[in-house]
Amino acid sequence: MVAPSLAIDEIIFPRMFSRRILWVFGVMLHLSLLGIAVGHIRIFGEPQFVWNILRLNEQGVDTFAYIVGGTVGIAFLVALLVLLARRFFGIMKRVSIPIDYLVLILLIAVAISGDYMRFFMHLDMSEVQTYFASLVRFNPIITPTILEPAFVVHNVITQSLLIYIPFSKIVHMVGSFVTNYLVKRRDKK
Amino acid sequence: MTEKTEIAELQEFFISQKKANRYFRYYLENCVRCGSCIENCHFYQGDYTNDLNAPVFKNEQVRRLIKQQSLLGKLGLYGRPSSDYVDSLSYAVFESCTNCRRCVIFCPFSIDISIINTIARAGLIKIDKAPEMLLMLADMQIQRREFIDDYIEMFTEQVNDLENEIRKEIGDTSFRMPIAEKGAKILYVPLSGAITMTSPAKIFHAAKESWTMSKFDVVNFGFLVGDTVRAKKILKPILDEAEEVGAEKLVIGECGHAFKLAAKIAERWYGKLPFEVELVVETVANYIKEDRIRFDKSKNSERITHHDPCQHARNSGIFEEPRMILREAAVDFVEMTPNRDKNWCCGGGGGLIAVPDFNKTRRIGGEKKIEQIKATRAKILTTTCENCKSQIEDLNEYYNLGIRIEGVVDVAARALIYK
Repeated sequence: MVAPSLAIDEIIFPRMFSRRILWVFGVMLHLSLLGIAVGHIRIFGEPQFVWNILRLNEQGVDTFAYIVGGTVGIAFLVALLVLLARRFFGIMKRVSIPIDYLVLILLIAVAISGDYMRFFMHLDMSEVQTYFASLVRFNPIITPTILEPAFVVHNVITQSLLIYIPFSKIVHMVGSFVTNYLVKRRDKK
Repeated sequence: MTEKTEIAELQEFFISQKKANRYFRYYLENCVRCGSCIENCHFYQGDYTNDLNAPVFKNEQVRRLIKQQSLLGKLGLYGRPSSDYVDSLSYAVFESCTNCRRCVIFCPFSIDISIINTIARAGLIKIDKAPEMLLMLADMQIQRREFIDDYIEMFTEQVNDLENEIRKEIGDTSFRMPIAEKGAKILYVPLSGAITMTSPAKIFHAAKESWTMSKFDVVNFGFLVGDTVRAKKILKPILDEAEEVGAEKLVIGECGHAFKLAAKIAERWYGKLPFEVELVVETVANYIKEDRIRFDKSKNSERITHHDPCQHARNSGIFEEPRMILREAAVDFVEMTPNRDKNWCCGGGGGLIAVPDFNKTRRIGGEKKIEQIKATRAKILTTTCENCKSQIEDLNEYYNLGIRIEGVVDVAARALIYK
């Protein structure tokens, strides 16, 4: 049975324990990414049953999103900055190639624009929801909110990043399952 | 051939391999250069100054050359191959990597460096940049197998001498060392030295096993250098012999790569084999479990520590068998730290020990091992791999450790009680 140990490898990265900084900020990055992915479900519609369970009214939803989304957003940005910084020192600087910086910088741009929207402006969620609902029908309804510079930056960079995933090192989001499984199968007695 | 066309040929070879080999593709694309492997390579621990000692940078050489054909590679985003590319690749894959796969344990994606390395080695063999020494040794072995009939007489004579010596030593005239005898249950394949034949022979005799010895030696320089064609030519006669003898078990002598080759890779090449493949320590451990042999512990009173050879422990999962034997046959057995799958490689594997040009790098790679051995304060170091033995013996002389290096079966054979 390789499934349990494969799951452990994918969730808590025990193989990186010996590199403390890398492990702490690596886990922080991936957990906050998960949080962000879950949070963004909102752009496709309000998950009303969740709000019902948490007993939140419209005001409460905003506060909840502000606190949780804000924390995760800051954690994401901090992890990215630390992981970028370590590529400027010692052996890590010598083995890094331009593509490593490119991916991190793209993600940092996404994080900064996202955090800016979270903390310094109020985005009307219903307008964003209308925009994405119309976008999937290839008939986007553009409102002033959609043309806010921060939103445009956030939107464009995220979409280019999504396009870039299959050709970049971010394929490890799928590939890590394959390679971890292969080696486990090979090293069985 | 000029440097330019050599690089072009290498690139073409790597790209064709990338298309043909799925595993190779996954391993190349998955790496994020997180640096988790760097500190876990014994060559990097020995020499911090050379970037090529970092596992990630060894793989990077191959990836970089392949990526030159993509759009982002043309823009320079994957870095450019250095001006002395072929030499640095040769250093990275032949001289400063023993395919011990310790970095695989510490890679969050388990990227298997040995697969990337083997392909890089194959590319370098193709453009004639492999260490000639290893290829020569492989060719010598192939020749020996082709003309085995000329060698067999001399070999039989030597074995008979050994047989007589041991008969006197243990005082038992029924002791025999049969060569390729039909109908035996076990075919034991020794290495070329006499010591690798005597100790297992004594144990088989004490366990009253029906066994026979192979005409060939188990070492495979073709596999060590990473050349599949030569490796197959060297391995096949042994498998054929085992079938001819009708053995139920093929028992491999204390050799690292040969065991991995026979136990795991042979099945990939030839399909399921009609016999089991075992390492000699597994067989001995089974005898202990079945109570077929007993030991007199007092014959091994000095402190013993065990070095897990990479190919047996980490890469094949043989952890407990040698420990079981040592606990049974010796008084004072201590572990070195880290051990088992996280053990440091001796630094002499992957063919390094056979090439005198690599001596300097090899000794640098052994520094971590020295620290480990010193910390145990053991007098005897046991291991189950001939490559590790030669390497640690060399380190022992070079760094003045004052220890003795033995095989696990040698320790067991010394303490054996003949009923």
